[in-house]
Amino acid sequence: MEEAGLTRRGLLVGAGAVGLAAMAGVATAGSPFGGGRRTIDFWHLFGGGDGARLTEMLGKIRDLDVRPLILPWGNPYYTKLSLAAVGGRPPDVAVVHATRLHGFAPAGLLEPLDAATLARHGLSQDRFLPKPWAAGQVGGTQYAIPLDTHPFVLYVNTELAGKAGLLDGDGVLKNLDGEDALLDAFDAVKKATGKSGVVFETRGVTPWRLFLTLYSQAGGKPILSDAGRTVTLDDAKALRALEWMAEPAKRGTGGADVDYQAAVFQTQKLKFDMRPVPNVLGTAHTEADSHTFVLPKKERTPEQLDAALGFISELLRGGQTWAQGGHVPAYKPTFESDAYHKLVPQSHYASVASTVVYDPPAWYSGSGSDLELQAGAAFQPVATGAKSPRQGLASFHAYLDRLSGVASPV
Amino acid sequence: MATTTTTLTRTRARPATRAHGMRPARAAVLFTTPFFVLYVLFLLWPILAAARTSLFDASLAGHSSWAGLRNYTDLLNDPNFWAAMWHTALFTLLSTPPLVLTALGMALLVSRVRRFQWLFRLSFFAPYVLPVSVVVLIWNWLFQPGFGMINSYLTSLGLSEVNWLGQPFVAMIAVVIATVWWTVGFNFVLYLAGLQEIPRELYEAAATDGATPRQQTRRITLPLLTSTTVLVTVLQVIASLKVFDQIYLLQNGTAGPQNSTRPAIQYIYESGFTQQRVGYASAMSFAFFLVVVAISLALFSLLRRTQR
Repeated sequence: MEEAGLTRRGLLVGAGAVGLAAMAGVATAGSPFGGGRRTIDFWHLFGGGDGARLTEMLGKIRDLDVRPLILPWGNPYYTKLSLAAVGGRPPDVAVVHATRLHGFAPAGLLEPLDAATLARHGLSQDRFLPKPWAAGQVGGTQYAIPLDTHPFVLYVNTELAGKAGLLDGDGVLKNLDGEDALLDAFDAVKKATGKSGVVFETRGVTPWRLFLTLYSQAGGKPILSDAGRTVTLDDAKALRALEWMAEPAKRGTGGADVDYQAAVFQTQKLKFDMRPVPNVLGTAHTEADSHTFVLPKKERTPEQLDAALGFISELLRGGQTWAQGGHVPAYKPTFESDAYHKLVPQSHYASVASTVVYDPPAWYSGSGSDLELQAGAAFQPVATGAKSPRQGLASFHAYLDRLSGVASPV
Repeated sequence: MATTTTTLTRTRARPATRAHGMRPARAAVLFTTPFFVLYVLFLLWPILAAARTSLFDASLAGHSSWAGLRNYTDLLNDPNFWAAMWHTALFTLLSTPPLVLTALGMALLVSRVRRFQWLFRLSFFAPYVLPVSVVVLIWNWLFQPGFGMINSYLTSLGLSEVNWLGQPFVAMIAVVIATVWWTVGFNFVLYLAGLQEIPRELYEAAATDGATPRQQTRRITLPLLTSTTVLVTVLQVIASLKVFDQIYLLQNGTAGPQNSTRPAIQYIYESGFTQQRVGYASAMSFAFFLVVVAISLALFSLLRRTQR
């Protein structure tokens, strides 16, 4: 017995020593003092094509040892990021949707970025499009550096749209501004081909994105103010937006097959174009969000801060690769480059970058947030005709009233 | 907390010197202490802490202010909370009958098998040892539209495809199907044990009196399995009320199609960790806890009555 115990213990000690040595080896290899490159822990939420393009961009970074971690988009990602930040062990750099900053910055989970430090790395305000740059601010302080803006767009199957006579001489979708033109276009394609050839993008939460676009076009004020504590939704304008959303189903040209079609465009290599959403209700506005870089709050030496900002700056300079995915670059040197303008159809809606509208700032709003899901649950039945616009508005309003009264957890 | 630790060290220090003269009561204390410490640390204390937190506007980010009962009035007015409670109840109602009856049927059949009985016992129990992530991966593929095995069979039989994971209510049925396949083995083993406790002589006597196998099952086996059935049902209801992981994984952490699957525990988790409303999440988990305790007490009193 005695001997067996000793051997077992000896074995464990031995194994532990080997383990410690291995860990020490890893630690020295990764430390900035070990003679190796400086490490950057980088969390992002890009899979699929975006993920591949980002990997390509990361591969070009030579002077830093970047350790990327991909997490699934949406609540799982933001939950993990906030828990890591609360626990004091966040990554050096993370990607966050601009609309989600309001759930992080007020809680002190992000590093505020001052203009002088940013300028040292070539990240001054004048190098970015104004709307995405402003979206990186919370309460007047810059917390995020925008990579892009990804507006809600219209997908056009050029073959079907052509048959319906919706294209001009250059094969480009005609101007469909005004309350009826887009609805008539839906009808025309349906009548000519029996299919849907002009559809809204369906990634993410379409009903909310369409609603915010139309509501803003109708001239609606920000839906929330005072960081989400006051509901300033303009009921009349909201109702106008919802009435328009109910129209395609009434005419029998909307419905389930619309959702299906956009996915087919992307996967089946159909001839398609991407256009800005027409100005339907009066003012040119389009819902959008931005992928941004943030520095979660943690202990950093000045060198580590420089490395993190240098990393962001280098990624932005490789922005042409990123733009291929259809995101409008927020970094002006890329946005204004010839290479980007030659990129079609991705650059066909670059113009909307100046009229984009972001989610109303609140701790419960933002990309993939509870607000977007609740809006979807309230508006989807309106779009399919199962509920009236008034019912959809009432249910959304009840949700806003409830959440605006809750003490902010951040 | 501090008092528990001191009594602990004292009881531990003394009996060691006079181990032989120990009174049984003291030995009992000594032996239950390790469990009791863990019980206090990981069960009683968190429950009390949650009760306290539920009275504050506590946030994950650290700050916290007195809220009184507002978290509780909030949850009464929160349609998402009621929906989540209903989904948990619905899952329990839908999953318990098949999990009990399938297990009974499998046990009755296997107990009749003479050769290779071990193979059937092993096969029916095997899925139970799989981790939930594996179970969800398997069923996620099986349920796929287009190329998923279930839908391929349906279409080859001339039936139309079912949108297993993307349609309200059907999505819940899909969870129930996967869960039955996964956990029925546990109930099956309990039933097998129950069957083995029935004395052989009863069947011999019945056979001598001319009872057919069917009569034997109806008049001997099933009545003598009643207490097993009650036990299995009670354990199953409690296990089903705790549903979270397979739903969360099958629906990718979303609330399911049109918020039709998210169970109570998932909503509590989301409120606490995603929305960072720890106080509100504590209030909800406390309310949910009280419901589960009430149901458990009712079921256990039922269990005690049948065992008497």
